[in-house]
Amino acid sequence: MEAFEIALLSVIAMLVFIYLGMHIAVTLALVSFVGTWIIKGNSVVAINLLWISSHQTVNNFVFAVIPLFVLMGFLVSVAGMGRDAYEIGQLMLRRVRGGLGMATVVANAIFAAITGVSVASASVFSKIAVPEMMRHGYTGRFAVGTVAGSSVLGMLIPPSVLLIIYALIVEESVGDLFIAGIGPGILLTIVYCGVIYLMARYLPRMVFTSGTFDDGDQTAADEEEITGSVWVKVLPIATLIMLVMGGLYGGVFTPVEAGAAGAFLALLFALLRRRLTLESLWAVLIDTGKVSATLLFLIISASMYSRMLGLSGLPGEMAEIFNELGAGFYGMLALYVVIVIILGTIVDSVSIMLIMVPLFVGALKFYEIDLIWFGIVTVIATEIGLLTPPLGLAVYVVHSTLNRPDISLKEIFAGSAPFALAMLFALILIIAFPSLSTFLVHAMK
Amino acid sequence: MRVLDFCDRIVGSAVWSTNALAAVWVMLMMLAVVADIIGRFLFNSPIAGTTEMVTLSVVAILYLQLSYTLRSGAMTRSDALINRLLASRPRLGHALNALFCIAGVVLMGAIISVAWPKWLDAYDSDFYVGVIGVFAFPDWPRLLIVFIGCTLTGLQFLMLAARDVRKLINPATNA
Repeated sequence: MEAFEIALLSVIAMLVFIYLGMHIAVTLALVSFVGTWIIKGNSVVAINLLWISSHQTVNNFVFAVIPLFVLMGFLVSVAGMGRDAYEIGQLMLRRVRGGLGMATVVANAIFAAITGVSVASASVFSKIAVPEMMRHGYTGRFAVGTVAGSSVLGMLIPPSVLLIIYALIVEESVGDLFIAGIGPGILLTIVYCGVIYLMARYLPRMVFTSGTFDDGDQTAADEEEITGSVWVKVLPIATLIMLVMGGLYGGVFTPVEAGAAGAFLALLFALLRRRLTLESLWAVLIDTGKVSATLLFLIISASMYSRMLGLSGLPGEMAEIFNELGAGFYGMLALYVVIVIILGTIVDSVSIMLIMVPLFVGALKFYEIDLIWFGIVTVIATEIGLLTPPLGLAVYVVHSTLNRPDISLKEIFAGSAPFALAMLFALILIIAFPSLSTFLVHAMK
Repeated sequence: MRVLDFCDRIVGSAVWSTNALAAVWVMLMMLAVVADIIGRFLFNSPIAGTTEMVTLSVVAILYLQLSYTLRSGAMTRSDALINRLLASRPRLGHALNALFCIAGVVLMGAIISVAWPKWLDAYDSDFYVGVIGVFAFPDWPRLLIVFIGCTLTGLQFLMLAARDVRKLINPATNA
């Protein structure tokens, strides 16, 4: 058997094991280990690769961005900035038809600009936005759909742990990927708001329990609820964005320093607001470690995997086969997007990225693609899968956070379907017009 | 069976200790980077060795917390199918689960088998990271941490496998 065939079989075996429920990092590392062993015919190379991957891969200053941005994300949540973002959104949009839905989207976009962990967004807004929307006469299905749908903005709008991981595996600049996410992030926010407006206007039955939009009630209620000065909510968020993003693009901070400074400032805000007890700080640190260790271990196992791919020559073979079929660049890209979306329905986005990116970046090298743009395409494609049955993870997070008997998984899938379609639309736009993601990157240089 | 519970408690407390150490480490790493930034801006003197310490911290956080991640059920897996199996065909589910955990034991065993001699080599050979004279420290602690982390994770996988095997043999146990 040829080396690339062994690698192909390994990839298929991995997907089967992952689907059955084997720990993803263990699957990647172990199957790659066995694959390398078979390709090379002896265990020495395989075991050396395993050792180098496990102690050398993350032995680099840059990888500290992961724990630091994760820490910042958790601290920002503890500081109650999710609620702030939501109230800012409400203030901006409460007079618009379907405004509370749009407020959820905008709040997610704002919150995404100060946190890089999407699990944080999904759980924060499930708790804040869903009860609020249902109280104001929105249907449960629409409310949960909006939250699940807009939670994916967190992955696209910088800082984003997913973009960081992509940057690290393809060895591009973290800063460039962050900038590239801004345009598509705003685009998706606008598309989402458009979808909500159209639904509220033409399909009000799907949005409001009473079948119509009643803005008198809503504004009256909101005036009472939003207490305290607006600036108390806007300033901390604005300061954080200025410090982290400003510092990064002003050339003052490296990505690692931006993460540390952001985490530190979030810690100060949480302390000033008396949100942080010793107990909650400890919980934040443990959670940070859990998420970081999981991600870093996945990266290590994926490096084992991409070394195996490199040895096997599978990506090159794939490119040749595609050339012979006459599928060309767009054929291959279409295949990639479809596979990623399908995988997104069973696996989490980081794992998909770590499995598919090394395979296809190798194969697409021939076409001299823009890796920054490709990263944005990848992120959006994985996120569509997270909203799609049978196992869309964003939907599962919303479901388990809410934990309400009256809202089933099916309801959430149904509610997020319009948003999944909207994402597909945005994805097609971004593929058709790469400058949507790259123009800012070039403008900054 | 009592032996198994005893072992599980021992592994559990070792896992918790390294986890707690890493939690404090995350905080210190953040403060170190911030101190470095402040030193650079206010006093025009960055703190020597920050880069090296932060690099070591990444490895430390990963390996000291890995076993706890596994123990608390946070290690990423796609668990929908296996959960359905555990409910509908518990024997098959537990058998599969045990098999997956043994795969984890094998992987960790493979890493440990190299990590042990490598850290001893590094310990004997006085290999330093950083710039000698400015800031340097030996490389062996990093490799030792890899060894400790993988050993604990391997043991934790073993405990999980044992739990599934136990349920396979005697479905009535509540562990």
